[in-house]
Amino acid sequence: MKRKLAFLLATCSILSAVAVVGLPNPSNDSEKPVKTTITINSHGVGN
Amino acid sequence: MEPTTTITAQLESFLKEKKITVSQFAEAAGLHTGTLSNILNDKKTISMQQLDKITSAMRLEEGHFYDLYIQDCFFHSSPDWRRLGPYLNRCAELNKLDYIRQTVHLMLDRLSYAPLLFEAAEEFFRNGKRAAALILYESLAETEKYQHSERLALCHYRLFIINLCEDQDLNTLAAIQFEPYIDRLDEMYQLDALNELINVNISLHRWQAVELLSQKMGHKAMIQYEQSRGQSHPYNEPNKPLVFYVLYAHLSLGNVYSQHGDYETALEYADLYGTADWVDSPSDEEAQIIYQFHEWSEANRYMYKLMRGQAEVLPEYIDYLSTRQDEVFVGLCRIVAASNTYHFNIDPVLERFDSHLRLKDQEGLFGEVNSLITMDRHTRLLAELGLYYLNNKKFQKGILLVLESLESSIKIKCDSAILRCVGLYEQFRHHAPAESQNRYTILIREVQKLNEKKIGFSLGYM
Repeated sequence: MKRKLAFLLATCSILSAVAVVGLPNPSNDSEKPVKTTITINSHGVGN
Repeated sequence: MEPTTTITAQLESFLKEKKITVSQFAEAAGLHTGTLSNILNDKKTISMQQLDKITSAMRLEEGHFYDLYIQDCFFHSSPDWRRLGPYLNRCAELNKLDYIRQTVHLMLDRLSYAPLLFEAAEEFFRNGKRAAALILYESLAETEKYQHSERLALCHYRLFIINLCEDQDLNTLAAIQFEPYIDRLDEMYQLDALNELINVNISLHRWQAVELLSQKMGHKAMIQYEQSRGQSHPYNEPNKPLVFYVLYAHLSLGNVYSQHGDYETALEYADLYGTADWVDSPSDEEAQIIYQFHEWSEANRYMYKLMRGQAEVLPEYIDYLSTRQDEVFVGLCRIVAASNTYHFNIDPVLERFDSHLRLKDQEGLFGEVNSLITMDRHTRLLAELGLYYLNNKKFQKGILLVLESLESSIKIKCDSAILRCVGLYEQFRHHAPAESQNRYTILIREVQKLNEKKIGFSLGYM
């Protein structure tokens, strides 16, 4: 009985944590601004 | 097996078949009857000019007998440069490259012909017959007896220039093959070769190589400058005044540091090429060069400050660009990159300079800017612009630009640029309309083909 109660409590705590944080949304990442990783050559380069 | 024949045998059959006398044919071809008789009786070897006249009089296409000429004049008899030189020239003019290859192959064992073949190669190179020159330079490089000869180094320099194309993989190969020969070149060519090699390595983003070569060029140019002082006409001059190579070495090093994100050191280099007070009483040409580098130093100072996040320099930078049309394209590339890093709005700038965003040859004081660098810049500018619009939630426009950049990256076969575009597209793919998704599928198939080719699998991918 105690084991069943412990299992139920653990399940509830996981579910509540998911409810607070929220499941990851794949589209969220794309809404974040992306920084540039490539720089472009200076003036005068290529002469 | 086809019956072997000679040019004279074919001419004899022609005369017989058409029932024409030797003198009639000689008149039609514009040759002396005696000369034609001697040719037909094998008493005289046919010259290129005579061969072309005979071919034309027989109403055959130009160069029809060129393969038989190899057999008649170079294979069965001892080759003579008086025939060989004009023959190679005509083959180059008619783009009959296979015949050049066959003839040169016959000559390879005769080392005494090497100087003449080299002269011919140089002439082809000067006259823009690069495919023909390539065959000669390759053969000469293969057979050169002395590994440290200047001629061998010059052959490799020419091969490097000829082999440059839009394909970055092939350009990497060309640069790596040429690098060991730089120091073996005559001083006259060294600085220009270093200049070319630096530019190719910049387009390939091989920053370590750019750094080493720039240091070498700056050092060599400074030594030559010191030695040339006081001499009215220094021998072995490179294409541009020596001051150019010293200042360009500083500019290139500053660029390397800016690529590593070390803008402080890049700014220090900008000071070095911004002032060339070490030049004693500069000539008009030198003064023009010094002024141009001073201008670039000013522009790059704005650029490096902007890349450090100092958005307040943007209005001044825009003012600077608006009076210098040649610099707008490069400036825009950097402004877009900076806005993507620090997220400031550049819509008015893009609108104002819209016409400069398209790919076109870039010109400056020293002529055309290296086209490989311009292609690379434009490919990256498209991706940066795409990213700018994606960050500003203009998804369709952004995706379109990312796909354009992907197409251009495939064209120049640049892996890092391809990966960048694929990463951006995948991140925003759920915003892509059906048309863009189809275009992406086609492009990614091309990427796959490229990759399979690179790793040596068959090209059966569909």
